[in-house]
Amino acid sequence: MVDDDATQRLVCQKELEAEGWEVTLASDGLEALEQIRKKKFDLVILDIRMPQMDGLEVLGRTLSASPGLPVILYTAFDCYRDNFLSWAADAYVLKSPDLGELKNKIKTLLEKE
Amino acid sequence: MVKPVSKKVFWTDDEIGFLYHLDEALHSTLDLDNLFFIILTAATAGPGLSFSRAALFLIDQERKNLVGKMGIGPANGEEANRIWSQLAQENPSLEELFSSYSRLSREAEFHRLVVSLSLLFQEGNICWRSLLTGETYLLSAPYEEGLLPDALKTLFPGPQLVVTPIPGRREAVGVLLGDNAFSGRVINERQVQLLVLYAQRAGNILELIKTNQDLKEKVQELEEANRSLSEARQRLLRSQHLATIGQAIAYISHEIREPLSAIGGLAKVINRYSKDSREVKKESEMIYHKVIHLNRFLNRNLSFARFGEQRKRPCDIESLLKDTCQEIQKDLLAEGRKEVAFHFRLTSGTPRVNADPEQLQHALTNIIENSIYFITGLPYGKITLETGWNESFVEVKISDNGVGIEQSDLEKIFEPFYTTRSGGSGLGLAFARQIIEMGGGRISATSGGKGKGTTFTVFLPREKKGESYGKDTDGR
Repeated sequence: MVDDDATQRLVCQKELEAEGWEVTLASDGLEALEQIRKKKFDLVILDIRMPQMDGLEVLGRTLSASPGLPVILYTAFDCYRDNFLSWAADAYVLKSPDLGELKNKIKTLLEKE
Repeated sequence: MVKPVSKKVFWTDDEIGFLYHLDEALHSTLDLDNLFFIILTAATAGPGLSFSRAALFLIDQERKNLVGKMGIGPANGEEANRIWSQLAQENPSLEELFSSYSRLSREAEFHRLVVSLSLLFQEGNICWRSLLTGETYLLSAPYEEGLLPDALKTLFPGPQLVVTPIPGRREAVGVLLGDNAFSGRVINERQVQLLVLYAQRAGNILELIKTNQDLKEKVQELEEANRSLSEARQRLLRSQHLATIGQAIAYISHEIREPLSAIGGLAKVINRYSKDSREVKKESEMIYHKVIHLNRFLNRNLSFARFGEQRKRPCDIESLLKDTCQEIQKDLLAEGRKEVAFHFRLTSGTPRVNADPEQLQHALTNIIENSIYFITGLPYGKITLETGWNESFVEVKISDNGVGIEQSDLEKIFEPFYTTRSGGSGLGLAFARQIIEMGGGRISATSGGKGKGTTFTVFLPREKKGESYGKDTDGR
């Protein structure tokens, strides 16, 4: 789970762990790529607006390093939806106080695996 | 016998005096029939020319027919005696004669016969010849073969008949006819000359009246164009205004959504996993619901930020309305409101509309939510949805039985930031109108007044057969 906002990371961790998933957190793109290189993940949740390296660049690098690794873009902005870089992601979920949609997307993508 | 008449003449004082009165009368009117009446009266009046009868024919727009416009004079000897003895008794002045247009009898036989005539071009027909050559002719019965069509021969049996053209700006526009049927007095050259002069006068004023009418039409056209221009300008200003508001909302919403989702998520986490008291659980739950509400508000208004382009395609309005109401009903039930009833009076076979379904649904949602606000608190809130159509538009009527709107506020409700609702943004109906107008439709509201409900009427353009879809159209 990659997000520069600590609250957002905390909420995701609590909620997703309650679903029985193991969650690893990263606070920026470089840290995330580092983790992905070291360890095998089943799925990546990526914020887009982050300092240093934005989510879309992280997405590109992740996919070239680990092709086939499912990625969900998780952002407060719907303007990236039409950006062709986002098309490479498996899902695009708008940030919401209710994590229902995010959880459903995760379930669907993990079942596909 | 036909005799062209020479035009050089010197007028006597009496004749000049008469012409002066005639001109004065002619200039006093801008009405064609009144003009005809004055000219024909001048031709038949005792103080004027004393022709027994006079008639006026004008050429139609295609220059194909000479059409009878007016005739003055008796149809037979008996009528002639009656009229002349009456006139001899009354002895009216010229002014009185010219201003007695209201007394013109459209039932008089001679007039009826004249206006029933329409003379097609005929080689040799003396009326057409006069019109085309500009010459004046004096005819004496028995007329040569082909000079007059039978209808005119019956109308003017002689002994003499004068035919003179009515000049227009470029070419003659009609002919003036005068005869001496019942007086039997021989028509002299002077009478003919005067009739020519009357016809010329009539031609001048006729042009004046036509120019005046053309001008009036032009002015009307210009006023019309001006009005639609200013309406278009209003619409443009409104749309720019709303676009700016939309951009501002988009910016603010995005900035707020990020922390909002964190706050709401955290409230949920506290609620679910905290081991603290029930009070904390209850209060974090309240935070969560408030945040969800705010988030929904942002999402809804955000969708307007992008209303610049409409992706139009044929949509089924019935299912669109039902879906919209279902969504709203779901939200209402979630808030615990069960008192709102939707009544569908959808006409089966309603044609599809040409619209951006997503945006149209937003517009409809806004209108219906507005209506729901109006019935809030009523024990029997009812919203009725009706459809109908004409050849170019589908009509959707959304009515409520709620508090109603004052007449003076009806136009204002579509203005941005105008609201009477506590907690209303004042944007819902403004955006609804924008979406509908950008799609080529229109919306209006009517209300029976305070307490008598409100009806929103929306006209949406019908699907156009044979138009290609899939392309982005801006709708205007």
